[in-house]
Amino acid sequence: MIQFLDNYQSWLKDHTYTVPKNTVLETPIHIKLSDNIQYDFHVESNCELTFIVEFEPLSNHQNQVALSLDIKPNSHVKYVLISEEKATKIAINQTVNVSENANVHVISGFLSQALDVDLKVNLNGQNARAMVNAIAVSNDQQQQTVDVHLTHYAPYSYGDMYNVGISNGYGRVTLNGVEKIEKGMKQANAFQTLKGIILSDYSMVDVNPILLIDEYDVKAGHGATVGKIEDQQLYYLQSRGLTKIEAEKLIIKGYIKPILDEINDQALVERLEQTIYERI
Amino acid sequence: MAELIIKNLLVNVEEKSILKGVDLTVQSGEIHAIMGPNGTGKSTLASALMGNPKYEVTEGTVTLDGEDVLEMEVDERARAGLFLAMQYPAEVPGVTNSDFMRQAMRATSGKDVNLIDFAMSYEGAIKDLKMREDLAHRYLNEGFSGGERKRNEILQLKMLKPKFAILDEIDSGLDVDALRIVGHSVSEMIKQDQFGVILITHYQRILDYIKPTHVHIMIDGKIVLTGGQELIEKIDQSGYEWVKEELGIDFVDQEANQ
Repeated sequence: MIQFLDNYQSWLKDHTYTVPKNTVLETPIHIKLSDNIQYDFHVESNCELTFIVEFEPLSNHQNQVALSLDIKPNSHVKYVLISEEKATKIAINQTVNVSENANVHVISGFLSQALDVDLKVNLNGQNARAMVNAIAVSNDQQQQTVDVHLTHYAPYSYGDMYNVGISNGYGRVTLNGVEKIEKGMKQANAFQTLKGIILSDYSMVDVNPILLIDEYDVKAGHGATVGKIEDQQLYYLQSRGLTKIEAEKLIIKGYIKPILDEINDQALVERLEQTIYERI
Repeated sequence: MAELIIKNLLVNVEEKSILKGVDLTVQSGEIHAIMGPNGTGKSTLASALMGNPKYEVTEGTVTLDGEDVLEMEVDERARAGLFLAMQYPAEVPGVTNSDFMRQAMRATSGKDVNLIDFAMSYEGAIKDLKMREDLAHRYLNEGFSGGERKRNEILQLKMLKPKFAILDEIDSGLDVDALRIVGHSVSEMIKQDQFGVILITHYQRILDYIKPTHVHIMIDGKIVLTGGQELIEKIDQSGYEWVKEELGIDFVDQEANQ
């Protein structure tokens, strides 16, 4: 089932949603999806808009979700993908295709109990740009795996990802970032940063940053860290009167706030923050 | 009137004995300069008072108005009125100076801090210390130069108004102009708020701006000599060698030794 919180549902035909060219929207297209579904979103050329896509399944059963987003030339899309607690077991397959001179900013927050995300972003045209941010937060026995593939199929393309995994209790988060530059795709830029934060002795975060580059004339860089919050940071904040818990929250907020601030829906941001702070 | 009393304080760092029995009493409005060669334990005293987990107190007592400071967690010490301007403050990416400062003020004062009042006084303090105007929105110490970090420590002191401030080598890394700004600013604050100060330094220059009421010389983990401002001049002229000779103590410069 698909549900539109605002207008814009008239662009939906069967399982294909098409935003006509030259559409510039101030307010986001806010969509709620439930249960096993498959949808294709198309954004025609010269558009500028934001999607907010949330999963809210009707049952606790394993949910399969397959979505694709095609962005035509010169369009700028912000794509917010949220899977909250209510979506207990979920597998998300998301593909994003970016044409020439188009750009996408994918912001995703994953808070489901058992979650498997496969996010593929393909830069198909010259000057295509993608920024991907993913946050996964787990606690108790929750297991979350987030795979992000960013592939450069065109020269002069730009891809960057900054993903954060936070784990508490017996939680487990796996972040895989694979960025690939195909042969001949000169002047491509590929960057990635993966951060894992463990908050308890039994929690785990796996981060695997991978760069596959088959071309010489490129710029690329990656970095990954996993660890507990630094003692000296905690000490510093505590020395100004913050309790240890307040200090931890503030430091974690520092990791995720820059990402959440990009979501232009205050109520949603507050709800996400609340769930995240409950888990940490 | 508040009183901080340190008695026979012994501190280890990684099992190595650094402070070997420090006694010091500081009252509101007093400025105690602690001077001494490198590696004699001055900064260890500062860190141990604040409760840095790397420093282990093995003996002695510290009380603030009768309350046992050593029993307190780091944040409890801050809320009791201790402030440490650190030599190497940590960077905290993603946390803006203003968010942090407002939360710290709420924590130490126990009261909610009105956003507009806060913004006004914070901006005023930033101007006083001649810091970048966008400071409030920059992340805490991230990408700050050495001098900016030191000034940010003093800015926090100005906002938090503690009972006792420990200033750990706030003069290192400051150029002549920055030193004057920081020196003036701290000295104004003390005049206004009458808090007690422990000022740790091995340069005399900062003492041109912040005039100590007491001067202590620390050598090899102990305060070996206490006096007034006349000691500063003597150190300025003849270094610390005369102290050794006068008191007949033998010590080696720990840092040079390492």
